[in-house]
Amino acid sequence: MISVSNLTRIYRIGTVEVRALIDVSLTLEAGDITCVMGKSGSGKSTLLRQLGLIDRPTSGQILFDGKDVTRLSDGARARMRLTYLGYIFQEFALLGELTAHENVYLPGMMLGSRPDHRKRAADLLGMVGLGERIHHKPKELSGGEQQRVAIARALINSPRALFADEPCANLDSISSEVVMETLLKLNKDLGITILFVSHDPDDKKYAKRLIFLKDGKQVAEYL
Amino acid sequence: MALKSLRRGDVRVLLLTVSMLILVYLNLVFTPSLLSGAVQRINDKTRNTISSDLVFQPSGDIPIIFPVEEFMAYIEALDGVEAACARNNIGAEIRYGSERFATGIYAIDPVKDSEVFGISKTVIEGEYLEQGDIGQIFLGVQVAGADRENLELYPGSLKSVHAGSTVTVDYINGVEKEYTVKGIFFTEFVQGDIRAYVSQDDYRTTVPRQLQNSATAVYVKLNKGADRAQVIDKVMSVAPGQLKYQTWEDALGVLKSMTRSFDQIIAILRTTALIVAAITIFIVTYVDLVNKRRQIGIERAIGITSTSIVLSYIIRAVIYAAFGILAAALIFRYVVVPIEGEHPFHFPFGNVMLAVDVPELVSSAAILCAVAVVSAFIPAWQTVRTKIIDAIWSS
Repeated sequence: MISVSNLTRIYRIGTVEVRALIDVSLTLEAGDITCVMGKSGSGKSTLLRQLGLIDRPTSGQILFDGKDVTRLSDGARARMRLTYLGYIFQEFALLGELTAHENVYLPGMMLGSRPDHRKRAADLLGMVGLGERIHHKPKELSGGEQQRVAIARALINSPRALFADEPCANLDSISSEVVMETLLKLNKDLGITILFVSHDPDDKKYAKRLIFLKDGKQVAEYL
Repeated sequence: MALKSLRRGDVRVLLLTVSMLILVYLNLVFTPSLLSGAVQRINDKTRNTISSDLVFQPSGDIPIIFPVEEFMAYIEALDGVEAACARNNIGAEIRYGSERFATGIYAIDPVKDSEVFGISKTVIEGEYLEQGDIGQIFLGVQVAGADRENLELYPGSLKSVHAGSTVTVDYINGVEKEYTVKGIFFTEFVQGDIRAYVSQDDYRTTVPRQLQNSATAVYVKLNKGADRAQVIDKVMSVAPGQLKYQTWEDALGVLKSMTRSFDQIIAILRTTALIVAAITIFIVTYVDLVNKRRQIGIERAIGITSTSIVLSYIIRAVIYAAFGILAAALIFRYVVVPIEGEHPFHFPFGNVMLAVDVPELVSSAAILCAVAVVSAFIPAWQTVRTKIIDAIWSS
């Protein structure tokens, strides 16, 4: 479903070059739940941002269902982010002025048909256990609840893949477990392909595949 | 997104921005309305006291229009002519005690003259002239003075002439005559109030018989919507080469340059007001975008299109402008205009009311909205061009 070949990302800061990713290749099959692990600075988040079409690689290729998305225009990338992918940020990234419900259906509005997306948003919030909290604003929700709202938001347009960048980094252990169990449930019930990044060894148990990065390079892969 | 941002955003910013736009719009319409009112006043006064719509005068060697009664009858029968009157103008000096005032004395048919001009309705002392008045003179207040020391030309006037006073007139043809001031008029238009009038019947006692049935000018008042060019053509065809004409616009003289200057002032004030509006909205939008740079990056990352984001800021700016314009229009219509009507500005040509031109108000509103759109678009568009990764993760 998603294929990555020789992906390299080099950041240039003044005269300094930072090789964040070097020749990474991997394949994600439909329904996979994969964890990318590594120490801080290993390139985990950089890899996720390339796959999430938030950043552009310096070289290499990314295929989504056989289609090369590496050199798409900004508009086409935005369309892919809206319809094909869901992205979950480490810091939740909810819009503070909007309620949980509004945060979830906002991306749906980009595709039109408001009444459908409002109902779907309410259903998704119910699915992640927040059916009673849909009219609350982010500041009225706990960290775990906010992250679950972010998960529901990422699902509003029925994406094929979900990318989660250290979804539990800012959560306590109980909230982390709830969030990870939610992702697992979505993978099992909806068959969504999930790639998540984590530096917590305990999160291994949620993944079917493990990829280890070190200094931008892929060093190991486990099934 | 725009509406939610406004409803749930900082209400102080909203109020300040809208207040600024109210002031901008009031500035856009107030001074132009005042100056337009002034121009309208000048034009009305010129037509009502000095020139009417058209003035026909002799050209060539003969300084009079003769025979004027037949000429008048022809003009009055033309389509589009409401009324016409003939005047004779003769230079003179009016004396009262030690005071002297040099002016043109106009000999008029009081009845016909009042059909063309409105001077008969501006009497402040005594009465207007009547046909058959001999030895009676009708003076403008700037000539008589009438002990009104606040008048613009009071130092040069006769100072204390009132209705019933006796003045001496020295005509340039050598005739000297005493007149009783029958009445004094005040048109609030200096160019009109420096004149003096006698009846044609009195004029005939001072000139040779050959000059009777003649005039130095014929004034024509047109019906609304009349074809002025056609009237001019028909009148001029009566005596080709012997007549010249002046429209009321021609008669404005030095006032024309004043009205042109007013137009330039209006353009400058308008431009300044719009620049202020543009800068205000630009700053408000820019500050908001700087504060929400990361949020906008996140919105783009989750699929919100750049177009939607830019559009939300444009809509917000239009809402600011719409609220400002609506509030300002209501304030202008129901507060400013009535107050100014009660306490009008006084100009040398009279009290000036605000000229409220609805198409002008609408066009000012449209221009302000357009400025708001552009001022919001530029910073918003620049922001969405930032790379998502820089927007979200670089501080």
